[in-house]
Amino acid sequence: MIDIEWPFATHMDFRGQKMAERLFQVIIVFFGLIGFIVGYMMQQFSMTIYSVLFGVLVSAFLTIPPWPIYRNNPVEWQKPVDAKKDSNGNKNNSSNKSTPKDTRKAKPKKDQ
Amino acid sequence: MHSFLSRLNTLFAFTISVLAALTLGVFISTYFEQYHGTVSISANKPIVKHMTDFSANRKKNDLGVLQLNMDMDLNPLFDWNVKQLFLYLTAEYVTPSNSLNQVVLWDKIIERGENAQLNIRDMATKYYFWDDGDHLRSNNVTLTLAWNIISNAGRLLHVRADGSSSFIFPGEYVTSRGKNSGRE
Repeated sequence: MIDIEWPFATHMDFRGQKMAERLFQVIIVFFGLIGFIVGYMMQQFSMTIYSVLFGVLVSAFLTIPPWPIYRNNPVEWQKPVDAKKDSNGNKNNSSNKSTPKDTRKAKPKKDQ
Repeated sequence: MHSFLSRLNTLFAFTISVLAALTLGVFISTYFEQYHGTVSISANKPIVKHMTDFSANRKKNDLGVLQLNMDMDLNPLFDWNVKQLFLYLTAEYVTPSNSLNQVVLWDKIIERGENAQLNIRDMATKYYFWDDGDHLRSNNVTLTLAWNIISNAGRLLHVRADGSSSFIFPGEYVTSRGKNSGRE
């Protein structure tokens, strides 16, 4: 249920996620401190709460959508090895001894 | 943090934690505040009646009737941690049967943002001044004001105001058909 397929792309890479998390933590704490000081000056706690909520809006805008800066370090997947020749060679080695030419071409090391 | 919902969840939880820390900060910043204040109270035309209290037993008890004048400015009490004030006026006196009687005559809730400066003249008491017996004649009664501070985050404080006043009830009863009709 948690894995919903959104109609828009939502992924970020790992470095991007770390950057996004650090960014919203800093923004919210910053607005919280500013709000605390302003609230203390004006003796109104509502100012503090409004400041934090404004900080939440700013961070939500900056960190929730997957902006391109969070996609600068894509994960380097390894290149796929062609697995078809491997499985064919193994089967022929274990069961039949027909077509030895094929196995030699595919895996010259294993034959010897 | 990978999926969209997980980012939203982390952001929301972190916001709640920050708000909790700020609320703790508000509590600590007003922990040592005393919330004292001065008021001036006086009573007009105190009289004593002797009637049946129909809401209690059927015996006849003393009923004190008076009017209140009050002046107070409570705006300095509202700092950023005070949500509302609950004021109440108490009449205290001594009788032979009880060493201390306290009767609440009036109360008021002042919320933050409302006018906190009260200048009241000739106001009837909000609650009846029944005595438990018949000892109000010639009794020296002290009127004191106290308030409860209701905070945004913190303890419920009870503070007695400075400035109380006393008056003495007359020594004779007033009947509703007598010359001193006692009607205010």
